[in-house]
Amino acid sequence: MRLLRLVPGEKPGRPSQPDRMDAELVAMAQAKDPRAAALVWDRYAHTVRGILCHTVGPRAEIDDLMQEVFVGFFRSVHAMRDPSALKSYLVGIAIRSARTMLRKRRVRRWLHLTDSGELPDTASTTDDPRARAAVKNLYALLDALDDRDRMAFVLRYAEGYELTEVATALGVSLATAKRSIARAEGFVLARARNDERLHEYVDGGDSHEGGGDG
Amino acid sequence: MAERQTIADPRLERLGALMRSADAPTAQQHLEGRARLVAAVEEMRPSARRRWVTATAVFAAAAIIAVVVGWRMRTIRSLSYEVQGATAAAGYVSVPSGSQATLAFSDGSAVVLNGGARGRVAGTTPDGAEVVLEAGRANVRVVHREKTSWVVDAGPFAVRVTGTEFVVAWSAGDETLDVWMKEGRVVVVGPGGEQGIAVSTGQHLRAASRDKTLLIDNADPNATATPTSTSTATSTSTSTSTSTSTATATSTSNAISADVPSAAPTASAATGWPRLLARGDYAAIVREAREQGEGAALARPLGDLRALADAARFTGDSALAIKTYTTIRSRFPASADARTAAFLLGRIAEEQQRSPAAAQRWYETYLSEAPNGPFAGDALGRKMVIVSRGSPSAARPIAEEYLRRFPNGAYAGAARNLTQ
Repeated sequence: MRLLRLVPGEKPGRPSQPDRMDAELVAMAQAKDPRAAALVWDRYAHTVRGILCHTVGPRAEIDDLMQEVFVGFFRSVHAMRDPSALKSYLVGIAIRSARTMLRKRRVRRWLHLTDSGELPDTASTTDDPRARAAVKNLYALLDALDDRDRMAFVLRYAEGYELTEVATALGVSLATAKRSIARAEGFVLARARNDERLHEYVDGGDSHEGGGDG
Repeated sequence: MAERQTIADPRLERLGALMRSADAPTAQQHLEGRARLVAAVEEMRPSARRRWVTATAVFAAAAIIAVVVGWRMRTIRSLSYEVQGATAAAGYVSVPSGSQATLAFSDGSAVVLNGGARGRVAGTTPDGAEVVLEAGRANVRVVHREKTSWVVDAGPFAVRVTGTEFVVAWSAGDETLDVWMKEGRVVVVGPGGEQGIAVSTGQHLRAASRDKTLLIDNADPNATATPTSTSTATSTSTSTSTSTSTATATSTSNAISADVPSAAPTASAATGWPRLLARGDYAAIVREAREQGEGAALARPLGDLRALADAARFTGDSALAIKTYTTIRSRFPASADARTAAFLLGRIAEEQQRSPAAAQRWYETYLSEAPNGPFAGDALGRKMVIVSRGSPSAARPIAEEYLRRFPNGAYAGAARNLTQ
């Protein structure tokens, strides 16, 4: 399956500087310009998808969640005060949607609507069966975190946010964001070391094939 | 970037990469998602048929309204006005220095623009007019009728009038608005007072849009003499009140102009004591403070202290006002309110305690703490007036400093007299 980076050069999820193009897009959306939906989608679908997918895990409902985020934006755009803050505005909606999804999943789990309390997965886009299994175990592990720690961990390590950006996105102080990330780090590393699929990611040296910057 | 450099743990980076590898959108997903969104957003827009129905309904309603309004307009006409004493270009009046112009309205109301003022009539209705004061000072007298609705716009402020007489001045350079009430009541809306601040007979309001401060004082009865005294030539509407003050204005114009700008704060917050203050219910604030006990009252948050101090000052309870302003200075020494309190303590010392020496010390304190503060001109001007009473020659360097810093300030006339 071919992977497509939809917005070349854009770092996923990273809040942008106030941007004229953003302001123009917001103005178009507020004026109900019929071109606005496609333009906003093309510019920020990748960002929103990254946050949703990395937070709740790769699932079928990601596409529906994305629609909720963007439709929510177009419903509320008339009340938007800072048109240049389009990206952070969308990120905020995405984070709220992801949290709502996590809450729903907890309810489902509690009500035993599915064996695992989760809806059936779609196949992860990676072709490596070991990686797919590792992803599944990683998200099972993240399910044990509270929502804020989980969001903070995802924004920091999957989305590459700075600490201050994590704090801003979650609407908490920098100290709180640091504590959330530290808690999540300790928990994830400790559990991953004892996981049959994940231990190679955390015990291996810097030369691990899935490694980052080494 | 410094924060980013702390991510040195490759294990966490690898887990992050694992999460990122789990899902990546395909071109098909992207295009399908875009098509869904475009369709959903289009659904939010009224359909062509709905738009046609809506447009037809709006047109029909507009036609009915037009008929009704047209019928009503035959019996009700908007106010008319004429410009006296100056030439108006497209409704815009610029008054030469040393002259004045009157906007005389058909209902008997009048706006007298003093020398150097610029303004225009933005529009009239059967019930009033909207006058824009672009710069300078104007005497406004609005004749009260059943449905009077007047607005004087000055910078970002709007002075809403129902029937009253007042002097209004706008300084575009300082971005300050002054309103001296002679009679009646107006509501000033603008930065710092978005919900509207009522100003009543005898009060003076200074609003500074840069600091979003709104300050009210009981204006000196002579305060309006200076602006009014310039309006005798053409304004029949203001001549009565002017005639009584012209004589004193001529002989004591320095003191009069020096007394014009006086200030004490009014809060603009929307709850508790600040709200009571904005409504002008000063006695209720002081009463509540008494009931709570002084210690508890003075332990309240800054906004409440500000309101209490102002209320005490307006009700003449100078002891409570001094205690409260002093508390503001001791509890919140780094705040702008602490600096403003110094100026206001000077005003209390000067006006209520008749202690010019103490007042002078407070003005000097304010000038040292806030040399470019919103009341620097007032503090320096008042200090000049106090010093000049004892020794005009000693006041001369202060006057020179004042003219250097505030050549168009309210005390400029007094300062020029001292330097001549």
